[in-house]
Amino acid sequence: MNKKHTYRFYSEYDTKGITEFLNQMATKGWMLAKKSGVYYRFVKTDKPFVKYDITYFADASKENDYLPYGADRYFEMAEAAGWQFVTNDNKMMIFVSENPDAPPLETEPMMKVDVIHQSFLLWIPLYLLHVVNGFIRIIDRRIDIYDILLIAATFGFLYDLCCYFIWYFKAKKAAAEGWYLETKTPFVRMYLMPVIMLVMIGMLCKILSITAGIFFIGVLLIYTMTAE
Amino acid sequence: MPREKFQTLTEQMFYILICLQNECCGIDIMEMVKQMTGGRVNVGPGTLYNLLEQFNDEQIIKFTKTVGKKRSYILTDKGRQLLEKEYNRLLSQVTDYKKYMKGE
Repeated sequence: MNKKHTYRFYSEYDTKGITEFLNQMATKGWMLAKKSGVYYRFVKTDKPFVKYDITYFADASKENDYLPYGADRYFEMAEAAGWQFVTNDNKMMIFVSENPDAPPLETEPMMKVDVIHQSFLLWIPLYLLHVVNGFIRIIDRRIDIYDILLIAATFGFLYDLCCYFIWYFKAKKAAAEGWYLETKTPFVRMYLMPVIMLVMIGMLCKILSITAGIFFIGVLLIYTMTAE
Repeated sequence: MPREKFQTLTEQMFYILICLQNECCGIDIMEMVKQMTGGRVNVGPGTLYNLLEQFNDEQIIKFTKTVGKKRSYILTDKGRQLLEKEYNRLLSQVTDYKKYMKGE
C-alpha cells in the first residue's frame, strides 16, 4: 500500500496539532498528499527528513482552488527559505521542508495570530449558524432523538468557538509581550465529534436501511478520497 | 491594519526597513537580515510577505519594479522617519541603561 487515508478532527486554527500530526506521519514514512477538512491522504516516501508548517490565506477560496493575488510571490519566498507548497485546504496552506534549519513561515508572533484570526473570522458565521439552529430547536421543543445528536454537535461547535476566542485573546496578549501562544484543539472537538458523527451515521443506517447507509458512507469516502 | 501598529518596530521590522534603504526584493531581504545579524534574527517568508504588503499599504516602503515573480521595494521618506524614530527610541533606552545601571 503506497497510500494511506485517515481522519483527524483538529480545529481549523490548530496549526500546532496539525503540524505535529503531519510531522509524526513523516517520521513513519508518510508524506501528506491531500487534506480536505478532517480527511488526510498520505503517500509513501523514502525522504529521510521532512517537517511541515501551516499558514492561512484569508482570500483563498475552495470552490476552484483559487489562490489569491500574490500567492506565487509568497510561494517563491517560501521556496527560497526552504519550503515547498504541498496542498491547500480552503484557506489553510500547508508547506513542507526537507531542511531542518528552515525558519518557520511566520516568525512574528503578532503577525501569526493575525493571519490565523483573519482566516478564522470567515468560519464564525458557519459556527454561529449551527449554534443558533441548535438553540432554536431547544426553545421550540421540537427535539427528537436524532436532534439530540445535532444539539450535542451544536454545543461542540459553541465550545470550540469559545475555546478559539479564549486562545485568541491570550495569544494577542502573549504576542504583545513578544511570544507566541501555541494553539490546541479542544478535547470535545478532537474526541467527541468523531463519536457523534459515527453515531449519526449508525442512526442513518437504521433509518434508511443498512444498504442505503453503506451507499451513503461509500459516496462520502469516494468524495473525500478523490477530492483534489 | 491600524496605524498605531507601526508606532514602535519589532526587531524583524527594524531590520527589514534597514535592508530597504536600497532597492531589493523579499528573497534578498531574508538573506541580508540573516547576514546582518549573524543568524540571530531570522525572518520567515510568511511574516516577510505580510510585512512588505502592510508597509507598502502604509507607504512606509514603495513598490519599484517586478522582475519575474520578484517585486522590489525601497524605503520612502516616511519609512526613513519611522526608522529614525525607532533608532532614537532604542538609543534612549541604551542611554537610560548606561545612566541607571552603569552609573555613566
